[in-house]
Amino acid sequence: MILFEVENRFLRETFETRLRNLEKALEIDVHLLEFNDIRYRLQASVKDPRYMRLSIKIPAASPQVPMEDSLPLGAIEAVEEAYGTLVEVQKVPEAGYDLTLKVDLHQLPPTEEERFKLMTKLAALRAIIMGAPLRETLKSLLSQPMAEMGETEGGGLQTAYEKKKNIVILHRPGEFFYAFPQSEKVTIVFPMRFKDSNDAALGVAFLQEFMEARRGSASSCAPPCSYSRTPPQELEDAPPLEKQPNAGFVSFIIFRRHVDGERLEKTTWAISTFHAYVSYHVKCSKAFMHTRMRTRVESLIQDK
Amino acid sequence: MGGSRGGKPLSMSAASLHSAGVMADLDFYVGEEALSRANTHSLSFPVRHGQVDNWDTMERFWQQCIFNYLRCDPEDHYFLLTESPLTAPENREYMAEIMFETFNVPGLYIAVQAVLALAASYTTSKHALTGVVVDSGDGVTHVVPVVDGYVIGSSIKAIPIAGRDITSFLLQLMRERGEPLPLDECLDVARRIKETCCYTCPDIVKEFGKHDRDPKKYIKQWSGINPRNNQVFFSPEIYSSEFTTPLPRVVDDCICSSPIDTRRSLYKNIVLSGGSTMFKDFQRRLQRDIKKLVEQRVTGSIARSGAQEKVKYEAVEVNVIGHHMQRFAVWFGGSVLASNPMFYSACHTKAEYEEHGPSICRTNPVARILPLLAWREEVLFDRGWLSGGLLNDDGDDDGHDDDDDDDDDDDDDDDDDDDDDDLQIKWNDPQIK
Amino acid sequence: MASSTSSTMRPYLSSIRETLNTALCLQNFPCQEVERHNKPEIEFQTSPELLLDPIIICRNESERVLIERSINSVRISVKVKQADELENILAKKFLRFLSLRAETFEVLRRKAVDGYDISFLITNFHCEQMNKNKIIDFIVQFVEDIDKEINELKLSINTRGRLVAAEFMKQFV
Repeated sequence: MILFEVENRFLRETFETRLRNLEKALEIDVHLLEFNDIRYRLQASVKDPRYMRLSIKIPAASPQVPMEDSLPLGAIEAVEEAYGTLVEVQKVPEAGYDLTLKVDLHQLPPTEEERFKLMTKLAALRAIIMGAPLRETLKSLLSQPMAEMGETEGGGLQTAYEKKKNIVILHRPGEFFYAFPQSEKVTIVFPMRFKDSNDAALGVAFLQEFMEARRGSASSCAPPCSYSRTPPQELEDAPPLEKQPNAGFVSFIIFRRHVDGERLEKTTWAISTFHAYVSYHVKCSKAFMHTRMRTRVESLIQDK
Repeated sequence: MGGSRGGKPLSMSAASLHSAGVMADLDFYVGEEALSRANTHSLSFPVRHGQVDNWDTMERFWQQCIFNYLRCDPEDHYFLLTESPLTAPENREYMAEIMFETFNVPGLYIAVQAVLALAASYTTSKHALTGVVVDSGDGVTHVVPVVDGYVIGSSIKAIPIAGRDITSFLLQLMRERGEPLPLDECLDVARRIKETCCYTCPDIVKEFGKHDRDPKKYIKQWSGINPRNNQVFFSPEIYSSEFTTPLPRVVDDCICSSPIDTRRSLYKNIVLSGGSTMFKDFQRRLQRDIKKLVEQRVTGSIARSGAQEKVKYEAVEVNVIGHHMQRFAVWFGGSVLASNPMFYSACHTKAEYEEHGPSICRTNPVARILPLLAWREEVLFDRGWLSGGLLNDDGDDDGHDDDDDDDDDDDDDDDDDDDDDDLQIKWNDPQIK
Repeated sequence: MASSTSSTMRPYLSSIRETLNTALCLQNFPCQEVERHNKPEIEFQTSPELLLDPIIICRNESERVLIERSINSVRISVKVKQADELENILAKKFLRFLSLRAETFEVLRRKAVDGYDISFLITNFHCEQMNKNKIIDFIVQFVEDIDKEINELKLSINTRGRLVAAEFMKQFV
């Protein structure tokens, strides 16, 4: 596995089991937990077989991050847009959760295929909610008048309209990243923090490669990426960080071509799981190192 | 060791061509996914006979479990791993090394599978943590006496016959009959037959008699294969010439070699665990046979002492206990244990590991978890497991679904143990229904 | 990289080899304080008359070998090159990994001498059981390997980083 899947496999499987047994009433109460402290609860009861309820809890917010009803900005709208009328947002979420969706099993789409598609989408609830503020910000690129597609990095012509405030987006408990919308581009800045100091050192080695990776011919369309140990200038008037980063700062510059059509979802997911991605690969490479070390120890023993 | 239960944690390492070299270790699948890719990747079994055989693949197996299946960040969760009895302490150090250094887990507890299986059988008695566990998975069968949560190492018996052997026995039978089976699927077919139609009969000779009288009854469904049950356990000589002691005798020997003051309570609480104990009537047959052995011995010794009339003799109570969580008893016990908020205090933490090194994980004191196990009944009622929620499900055809249910249940309590047994359950058991 | 390493490495390794060759002339020596005891004098350092001056062989500031000699035992400690934070961590992890498996190496000390990364303790019994030249070969090979291994580890971490980054970037294309 190299990339994280968007949807949660067990949520999807549980939904699918329910779909296959529509005629029966099933008792389901699944609690799930995902990376970055996202919690789910999926319920179906024999007493009320018509509905299934999916609740989600997201990491607690920090005062720096604007939220509405303990959900990221625009989350409810994003949910409505994604699921339309097929799913109803319960007015009062389940105790201990931030949002509860009600799925009416009597009003599912007519074809099997569409039904499974809906279930897969439901299993990706996290991406829809957590990605909402970023998605909105990136969408603003689409509404801007079509300009030259050239990279105008550091282009100084910023009108008052474009000097919108920075946007702070929560991605892990107590940690967030910044998005700075400018003309024709959005700059994303990640303060990188690892719990473990060894991880941080390996992480730094990885992050430096991100800067290099773009120079490779294969990914020349990819967003420009830069890495520095000190805060980039964009952060000067941004709200201060709660936890100081120990692995520097990564910035991506997203252009219109990265958010065209279907790319919007992909880009949003990639950016909002960036930290999890790096942290996963740091751990994988530690496992890889162990493998190498074991081989080396064996060869040394044979030498003896 | 972790994942040792049921030898099926098939994982596979593979070097596919496109990412040859450095990233090849990420092209890796476990469980059913691994099996389905057997033609493009190479298969490996990191756990053999309950012991980790290949630490490289084991480490990647855990990596897949944590990141791909549980999708959790190991830095946020305490882990409970299990090991089979008589595992070398060095192996515990290796486990700790991987868990703390690669995955940065904040805490780790390594439990003995037999103790967890015992904890899972919720016979309400003060003997709950004293008993004999008959644990039979895919690779090996263990008979483990446990007294007050401590394993009596010297009395553990291992039987080299388990699920895999029953499968190959069935295969052998089918071959003898000349069944037209495709070569690459025959193992799978045998496994399905084992899981769906095998049963335990009270007496093999009578059973053959019945079969001879009315063969139709047995033949109609399975195209001529008499699912002759897992007689292998009770008469191993029909399968193997090297190991011929029947299971009831092994259990009896095991108890008789334990300290004398524990034997009565051990007989009273013989607990089954693992997939290969799931055959119909297995429990009844085992109980009957052990009882017979004990009674024979007692009457024999009374007769030898020549004092038939005078001796007041209190009958030995023999109970073989099976329950609906028997198949994953170890996982279930682990889940109950880890659901307790006090579980954290029993764990070795990362700080301790860094201070003292991996050797601290050599010991995982049972005393610290004993009070937690006493807590279990309450939880079971809380979660509706005792009141029969699952009992109903079990008969239903959504066996897969309740698997999900429980493993997530224990995540929910924040303690997030992922004993990787639970992972196996997830994909070993998408039942062949 | 490999060729340039080996050219500066060779004199370093050969002087280690020579020194070990002279240092490993060990004899059985019963303890002077306690009867019927026999202990590695270099570990206790209680009787100065049994000790020889320690030798330090340096390749550069950060890479050196300390050889402490006594009548019945020799202690060899190695400091491994750690140019940056990543090398530091790789060395630390690798050496820790090795010292965990110390018993399989017999001559490896579980704890390194202060200021060094890894230590060996060779007694006259080791010299009697094993071929002296083989022990020397092993130590020299070890010093060479560890250097190579850390370089290779670093290289593979960087390669991995690049691939990981490339895979991430592919999502935007």
